[in-house]
Amino acid sequence: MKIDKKDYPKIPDDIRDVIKSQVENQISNSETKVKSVSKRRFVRYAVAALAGTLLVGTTVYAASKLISITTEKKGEYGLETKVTVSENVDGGEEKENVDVDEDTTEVPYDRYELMNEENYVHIDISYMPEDVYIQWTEDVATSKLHSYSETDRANRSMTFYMWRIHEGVEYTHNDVNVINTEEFEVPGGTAVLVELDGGRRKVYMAYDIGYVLDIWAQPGITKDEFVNVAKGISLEVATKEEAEEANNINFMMAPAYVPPFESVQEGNIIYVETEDELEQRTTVAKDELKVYQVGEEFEISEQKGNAKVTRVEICDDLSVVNKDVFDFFQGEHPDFIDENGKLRDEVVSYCKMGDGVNSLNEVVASETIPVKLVYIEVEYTSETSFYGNLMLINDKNDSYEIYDGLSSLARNTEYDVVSTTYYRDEPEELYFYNGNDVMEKNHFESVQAGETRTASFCYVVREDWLPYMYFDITCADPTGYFKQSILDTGVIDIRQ
Amino acid sequence: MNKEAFGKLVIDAQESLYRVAKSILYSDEDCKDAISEAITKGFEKLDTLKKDKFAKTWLTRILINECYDILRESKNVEDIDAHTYELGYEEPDNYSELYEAIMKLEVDYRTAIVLYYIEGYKIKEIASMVDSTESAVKKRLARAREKLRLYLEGGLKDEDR
Repeated sequence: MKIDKKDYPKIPDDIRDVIKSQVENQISNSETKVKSVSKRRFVRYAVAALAGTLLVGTTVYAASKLISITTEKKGEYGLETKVTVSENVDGGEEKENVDVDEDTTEVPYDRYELMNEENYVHIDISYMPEDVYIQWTEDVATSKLHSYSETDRANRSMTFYMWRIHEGVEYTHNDVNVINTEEFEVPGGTAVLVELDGGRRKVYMAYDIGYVLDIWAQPGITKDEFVNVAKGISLEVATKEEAEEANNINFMMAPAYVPPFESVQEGNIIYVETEDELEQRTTVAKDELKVYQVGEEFEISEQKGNAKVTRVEICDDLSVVNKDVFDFFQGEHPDFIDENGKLRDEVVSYCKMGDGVNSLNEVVASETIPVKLVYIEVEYTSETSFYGNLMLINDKNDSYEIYDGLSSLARNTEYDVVSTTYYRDEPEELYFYNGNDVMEKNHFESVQAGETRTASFCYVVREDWLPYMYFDITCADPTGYFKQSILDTGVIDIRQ
Repeated sequence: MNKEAFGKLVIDAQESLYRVAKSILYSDEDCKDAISEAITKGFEKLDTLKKDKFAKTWLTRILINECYDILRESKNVEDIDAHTYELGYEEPDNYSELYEAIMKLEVDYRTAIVLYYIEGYKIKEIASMVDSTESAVKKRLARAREKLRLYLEGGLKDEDR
């Protein structure tokens, strides 16, 4: 079955006109209010629950709500943490929670209403080590807690997540590779510290105002530091107006916790596991894929424009980029280059995963791989958009095949996951520069009719990938297969 | 991303935005409202967009929420699927057979179909847009394809949905 855009109705002229006029109004309207908070919506993934032993069960009594946090051990290294809120009636007796009955089609909340909810909380942190980097997932700014060492930010950072828990909604999180848990009190609530194999820690804090704060800490933060940070945090419910008045300093926007889809049945949909894999072509015949050379101009399918790659350079450092870009690199990726300005080699570790419940992870092999900077310039003419996607393709006798980029060690090692120091295991675009301001990187500005513009793309790749590099200008993100747009337009051979 | 760049992105993406809205809402009037509201919110929240390369995905996600809001305002969530199709009673009947078949699917199924097969988003992106998991999106796609096949072969009636 082929599903094509042609099967869908075209946009009516009146909607096109509305969009055009609205965009023009928004751009010309300097009074447009710009909010400085945003919404986070994470779906937590549940893992299979095994039989286990109850470790901790704590109930916190409040004026009108009852919040409880429980943890249950799963196997040797697994832990399930649950938080529920219910009405506190008759001076502390717990009202029976509304359970989600897996045999019914009803859930005791409106999923879409929860997703759109905005809650504001004032957060006060009385203690934070000076050099700790705090990641607030963009929801809050703090007035005095932003001094940290840039070079150690990966190892000395904490990430905060805040959720509002509604009645009838069960907050559930499963951790694996757990080697220790401890319970302690925090102002207005109860906390459970979870220590993981490898040195990372997290703490779940259930507050009697109906909120859960969970914080991740990297291994460079000691247990005492972490516990003291947690004990020094207090929360108060706030309003959006209060947060805006304070420019969001020390305020946090907390989404309502929404259970994952898989934990409930919705409507009459019953999800069934299937072996049916989606068709993603990783091999095509030679005559199915057009291949252009550097300097050769070609037409971009579905766009009124042409393009050609005009320059490809392979470098060991960042000398090819201008100063603005260099400064941007240093700010965003301080660990990418060494003291001599050269790109650092990639250290790759191959791990056999324990199940996290009865066994832990183990590094079974590691290797150091030299890396290169790939700099590409593309000249676009007429109405088109800037896209770039570095692909790894193996040129076989009669076909092109997506190359998996694995080293010989990787091919000969039994492992489950790859751990890398700085780079991913596929070509990742580090920046995209459209010729204007480096801060406008990565935006999808298009070229107007009759205009010619040059955009530059930059990738860090493993040295052994150089003979497999092709450039696609129809996709914005890496693809592990031949999308139709790639087959329609073709790719540029930039192998070295 | 500045407002001008975002404006260009909206114009570039308008066909895509319409198709996404049209996969959830049958009525063009509703699509117009949802797209309009999504554009307004997109501009309002522009400085919360951390990575420009995800701007289109981000805007599409806002649009999907607006579409669901419109559905919810019209009827209860439980009746979304029936309602969506009812909305189409005044619409022209010159839509393709495939589009009509897609619109007979449950709203979550057809949204996944459009985002994946027509708009070319990755499973991971779709999961983030519809607040679900990659595994759930894959299941929806598999089931949606199967149902589409049955519809097009005449083997599945509306009441079987």
